[in-house]
Amino acid sequence: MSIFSFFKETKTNGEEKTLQQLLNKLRQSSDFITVEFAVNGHLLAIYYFDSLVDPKVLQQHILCHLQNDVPKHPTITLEDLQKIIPIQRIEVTNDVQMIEEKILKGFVAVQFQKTDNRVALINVANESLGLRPNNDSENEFSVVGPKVGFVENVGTNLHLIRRQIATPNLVFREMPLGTMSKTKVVVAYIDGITNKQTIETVIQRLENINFDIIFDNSLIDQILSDNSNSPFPLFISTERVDRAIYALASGQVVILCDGSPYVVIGPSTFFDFFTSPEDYYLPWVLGSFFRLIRFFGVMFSVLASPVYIAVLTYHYEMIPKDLLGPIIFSRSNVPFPPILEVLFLEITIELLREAGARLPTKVAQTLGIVGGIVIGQASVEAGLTSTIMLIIVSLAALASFTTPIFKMSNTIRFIRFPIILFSALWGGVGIIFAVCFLLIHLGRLQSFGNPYLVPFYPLRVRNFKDSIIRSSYSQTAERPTFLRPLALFRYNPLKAKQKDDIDE
Amino acid sequence: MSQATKERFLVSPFLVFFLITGTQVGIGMLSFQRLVMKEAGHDAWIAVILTGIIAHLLIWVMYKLFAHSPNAEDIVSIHQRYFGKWAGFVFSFALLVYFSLLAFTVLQTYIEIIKIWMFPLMGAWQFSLIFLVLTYYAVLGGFRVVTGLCFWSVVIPLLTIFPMLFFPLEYAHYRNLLPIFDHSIGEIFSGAKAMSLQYLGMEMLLVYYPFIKQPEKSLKWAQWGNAFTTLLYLSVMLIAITFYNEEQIQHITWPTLTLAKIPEVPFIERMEYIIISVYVLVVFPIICIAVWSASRIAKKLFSIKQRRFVPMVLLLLFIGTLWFEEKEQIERLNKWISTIGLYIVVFYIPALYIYVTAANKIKK
Amino acid sequence: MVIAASLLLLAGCKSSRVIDEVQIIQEMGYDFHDGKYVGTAVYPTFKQGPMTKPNLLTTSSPTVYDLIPRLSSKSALPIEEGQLRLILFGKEFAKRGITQIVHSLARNNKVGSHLLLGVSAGSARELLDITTNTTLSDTLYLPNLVEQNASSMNLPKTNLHLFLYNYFSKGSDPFLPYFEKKGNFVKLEGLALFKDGKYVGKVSLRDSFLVKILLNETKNGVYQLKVGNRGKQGEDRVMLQNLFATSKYEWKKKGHRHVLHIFVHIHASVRDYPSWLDVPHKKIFSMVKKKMEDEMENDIRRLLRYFQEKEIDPLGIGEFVRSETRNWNAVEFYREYKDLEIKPHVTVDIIQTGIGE
Repeated sequence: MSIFSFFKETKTNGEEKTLQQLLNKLRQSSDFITVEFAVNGHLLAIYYFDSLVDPKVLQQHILCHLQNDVPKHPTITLEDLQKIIPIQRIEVTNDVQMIEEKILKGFVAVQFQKTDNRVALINVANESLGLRPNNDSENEFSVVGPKVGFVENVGTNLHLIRRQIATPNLVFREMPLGTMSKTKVVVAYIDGITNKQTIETVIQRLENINFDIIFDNSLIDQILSDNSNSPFPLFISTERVDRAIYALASGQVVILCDGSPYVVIGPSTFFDFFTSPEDYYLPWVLGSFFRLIRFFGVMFSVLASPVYIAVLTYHYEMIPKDLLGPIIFSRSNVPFPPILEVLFLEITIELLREAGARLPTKVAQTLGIVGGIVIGQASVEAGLTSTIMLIIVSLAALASFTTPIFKMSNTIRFIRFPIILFSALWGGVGIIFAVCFLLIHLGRLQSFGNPYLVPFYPLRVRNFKDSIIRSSYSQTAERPTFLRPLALFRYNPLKAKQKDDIDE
Repeated sequence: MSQATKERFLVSPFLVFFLITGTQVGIGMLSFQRLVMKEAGHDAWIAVILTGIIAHLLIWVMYKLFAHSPNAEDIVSIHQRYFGKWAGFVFSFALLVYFSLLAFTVLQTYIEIIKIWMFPLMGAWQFSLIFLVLTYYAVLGGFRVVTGLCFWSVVIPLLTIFPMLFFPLEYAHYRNLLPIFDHSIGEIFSGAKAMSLQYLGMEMLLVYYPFIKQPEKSLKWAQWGNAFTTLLYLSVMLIAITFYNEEQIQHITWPTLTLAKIPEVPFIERMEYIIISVYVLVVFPIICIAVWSASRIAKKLFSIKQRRFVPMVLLLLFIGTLWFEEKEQIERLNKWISTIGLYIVVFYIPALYIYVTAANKIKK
Repeated sequence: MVIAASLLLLAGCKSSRVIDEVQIIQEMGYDFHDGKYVGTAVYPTFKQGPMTKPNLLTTSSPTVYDLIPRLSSKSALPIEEGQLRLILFGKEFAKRGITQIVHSLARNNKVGSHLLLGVSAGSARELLDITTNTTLSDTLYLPNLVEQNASSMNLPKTNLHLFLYNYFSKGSDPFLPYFEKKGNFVKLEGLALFKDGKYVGKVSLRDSFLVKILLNETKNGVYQLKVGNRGKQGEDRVMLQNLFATSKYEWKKKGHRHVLHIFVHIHASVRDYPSWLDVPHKKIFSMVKKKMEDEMENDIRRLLRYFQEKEIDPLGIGEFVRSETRNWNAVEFYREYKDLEIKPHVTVDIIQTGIGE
């Protein structure tokens, strides 16, 4: 109740506030600065937050001009400030609500008379203070290709995108989000390519968001999600510029959010999460091969330990005679059933991963070695686990890290556990039960109203060219049809396909 | 149906291919060779083709039946239109019961196989509980999700199980197929009768017909689906005929599973356990579509919400699995249901078609 | 939710058969001794390393079905037969008939189709004992022996599936590998022949080469043939190694009787040959080839005579005739089987040899 009443108050009472009240309220903070000096008979007052503005700009472009140039123009009004101050987009207003907002975003308010309600708002916000100037996209690393990543500053991010897509059709739609943070959120799409309905859905969902502070794009990601109870990410979030641009070019919508180095791409399909920009930088044969390896890695990661449990617990008949010896021997000292063994190892690996992620890089390396080698070796010698199990579980963990999108690789590691449990309960049948459950779940999922499992279900044979494999560029001129793009071709396929005869 | 089903709940015409194949190929695939070869011996493959052709005709009749009404209708509306309110109600209700029982027998038969091959000590209730919970989850997703399951139920087994069945050709005695037509027409026809049970399932088309986008155009895909089913049965039958001899196969309850004992790879053997496991995927869509169809009919008959009716059916099925434990009961039920299904498909639908055509002519 | 989960977990554990908590038996022997059935199970233990140490369990009972439950009463862990690789029948047991066991194996879905069956000249128990207690000391010694011989030597392919196929077939009779104890070793001695589930006779390992070829197994096997009369002992024999062989049957009518022609075509290499064959002379070479063909035809005729006298059909001649005849009648066919005229025709093509070059 109290929270809601707080929101109500700001909404209703804010409008009735006078400028003076606002200033008094702001003066409670010690970083709110009021500078007053008399020029030309005007009693100029300047208000700003010391912590938000760029002092250099303030001194060189505002204070300097106000002090030197105002005396030269005796009849100057607030509207004329644009003439003497070399800063773009000076606004004059008496809207207290807006003044409050702008001052809080790093604007300087200039007032000519103490009693005057109107102020000029000049942008001197220090955009890059405390922010990284660049990002090497270390979390989505690729050996080949550009390494520029998005940064926390949305302006820089928009710049990065606009620089590569030189078309007037690229549209950025800005909207503030968050009742308290007023975060700048930008929806980017290419007009004439992206399906209108998709854009409408995105904008509408964004408008419906009611949240106090948007910390990161992943919050928007979750709130926008069609099914918030699913462990599967429905939108790609990436810090790679090339990936975002590729998405725009294919007719997807990109959502940027100030303060987040990740952008959200939607609508996405399940298979988008397993493509890496690097696939497109390598020859298509290699690209396809590595993509296949990645899919195999996912399958292996999800199914290896459940299958091993199922076979060892229920279906010993399936073991070939030459493997029987090694398997039984490796288990002969282990007092637990296979399921406990697997859980023990899986949880160890999860702990290592979690600890490694929370620790500084250099410590994490040591930890990895200690955890991986020492604990693994010791638990085998102590008879807690068997060697073969150790190999399978660590391979499965390794395979799960091949997924390029972090969110998806988390999901994959998570869904292993229910499958392991099912396999311990009902063996092979249990595994397929779990797979069935996954298939239904994935079949029900939608991303901005787009089926998640496309191009498999609903089957779109045309779009297989760039799903499991990455075909050559002469084949992939079409945009994926399931996005229903307004223009189907990315480039002229005939030109790309044209082949000369031998010796001509 | 008065108002057309909403566009976004419809499925593309070509998915009928998977719907038909997915519902036809079921638990019978594991043992049909024994039954058909009992009648037609090594000429059983002729019976398979014969039945396939008859199934093609019946699908054509079903589409013809629907072609009489201007916009896509299901069987319940047709019943009501031509038989009046009460008689129509009785016929539709009979179908509802049939579909529920169909789901039940499929579930029960599969659980029986799991118990015999894998978990002799485990209670059937666990499997039926899991199955029904999954069915609930799937059916709540609507017809599109159920169709999606059908799609996977064709694709995944085709990639995993089907290739395995070709390994036994190492032991094939191709001469077993000779001499062709060694059996009388009568024997081949009684083989075809045994075979016809394997094609059951396609009658659910009667209910999901209005859920197909441009349903008239899907006839082609339905026929392709049926042809594909025939091809699957035919190839498995040919493998069985060359792998076993007539006497031997009568001693093997599930010839297809025994076939899978042959392939060996360095890290795994005894593939029949894989087949039984993957068969969850084959059986599951049949149960889902049957339950969906039953609940769809109920929705139209009693104007009860499907969301309400599905749990009721599932609960009944669950109680049923607790009751039926004996193998003999299950077998009797199985025989019953398949006979009823056979009568519905082979006699009732053509009869209905003739009746509807005649009624239309008289009206004119 | 938690209660349901734990209930399921408890129920699940009941039917688990964790691989190291069951006694996996890999070989089984059946004997008939002093009016009682004796069952012997061989199971491996893996205490020292992945190498097995075979152990033996023996029990006796007045009935066959009782043997496995009785074995269980001597074992610390539940006995599981899903990894069974070989079943050995003692000769006495095989003579009394193995029908019961065969029928239960046909229905048993736990055992694989690659399970091997065999007959031991003496008691099966003794033979299994050798494989466990002597230097051989490997539970898989016998299965490996059979597989090696089938894939590279004279033994025709055998396994449970093939046995059941021939056993149930109306037009053929089954055979199994036949073992004998030789000191501290086990020796493969040829094929044991069955009729109606009863052991009726055997063929030697040399003759099983002919069986292998007549069954249309195309590769491998060695065969020694006499090609001359001169020289010291051994100087008149050549050793053929089969590289590729085909056999073709033809069912022809001659008058009112049928004649079965068997065309055998062997592409073979000569492994060992007498020194006088080294002479590069074409005439000698074709003479020798003719001799080989004649002798092989003789051997085949002798072998078939033996089968006909015993009224057994391990080659599946009945099956072949069935595929050539409409409404074939097994009873009628085997009534006249004894007098059936069978004509083998052998062609030998020598390839890969130093002779005559």
